[in-house]
Amino acid sequence: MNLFGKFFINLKNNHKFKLEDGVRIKMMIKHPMHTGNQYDNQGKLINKNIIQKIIIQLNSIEIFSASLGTGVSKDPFFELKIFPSESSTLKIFCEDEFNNSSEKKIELIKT
Amino acid sequence: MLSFSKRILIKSLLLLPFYGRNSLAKDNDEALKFLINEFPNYKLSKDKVIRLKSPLLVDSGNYVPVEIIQFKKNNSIFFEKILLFAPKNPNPLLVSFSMTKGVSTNIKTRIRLSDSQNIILAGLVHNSIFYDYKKTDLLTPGCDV
Repeated sequence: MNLFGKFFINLKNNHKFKLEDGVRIKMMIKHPMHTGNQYDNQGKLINKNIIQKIIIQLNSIEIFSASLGTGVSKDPFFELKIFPSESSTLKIFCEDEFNNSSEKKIELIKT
Repeated sequence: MLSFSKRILIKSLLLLPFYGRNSLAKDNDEALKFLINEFPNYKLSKDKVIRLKSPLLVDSGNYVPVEIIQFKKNNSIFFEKILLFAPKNPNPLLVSFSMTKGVSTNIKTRIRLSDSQNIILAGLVHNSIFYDYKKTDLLTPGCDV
């Protein structure tokens, strides 16, 4: 079952940025991040299911990756800043333990 | 017999020399030992290059906001990998970040903690580790809820 929910990000498509300021990315991915130690209402152990990897690509080149463990909270949140040198395509990709994935593409425009 | 307020005043004056002292030295030693065990081939560097920002006390261990900050004067140091550990969690490695030079080291995220403990930040550069740790106390644990 795909547990990925909505992908919240502060950037809209065709985001304009200045070279010296960079681009601040704030993202939250809806996912329950079951640790494997939790129980449901009927007392059954819930299988482990976490987002394993989050990859950020700029023009198909990987610039940032995060390997997540069970210690990341439900609905993982990340805030970081990138400094693209030119107008480019930002792609954020994440995948969980059962190979369900979610991705978002945003065009960044240099002004 | 002294009044209650006077007794409190005398007690606080007696405790004044200990204010701000690190009463958690044992825990901090444990944090260093943990890093040495995890990275036996790396050299621990005492330079303050990266800093971990985390709350002193949180209500629930399910959502603990943390921030990784690189000091501006040491901005030229590039980290191959940045790792966050919570030694008392069932799986101590919380998250690891790999990045290129086009990404700032200042990262914010949220973690889960199973108990009040030191959160350890380790930044890997060639054969050395820059580190920082902060103790965070919880009112309710987070990992198995």
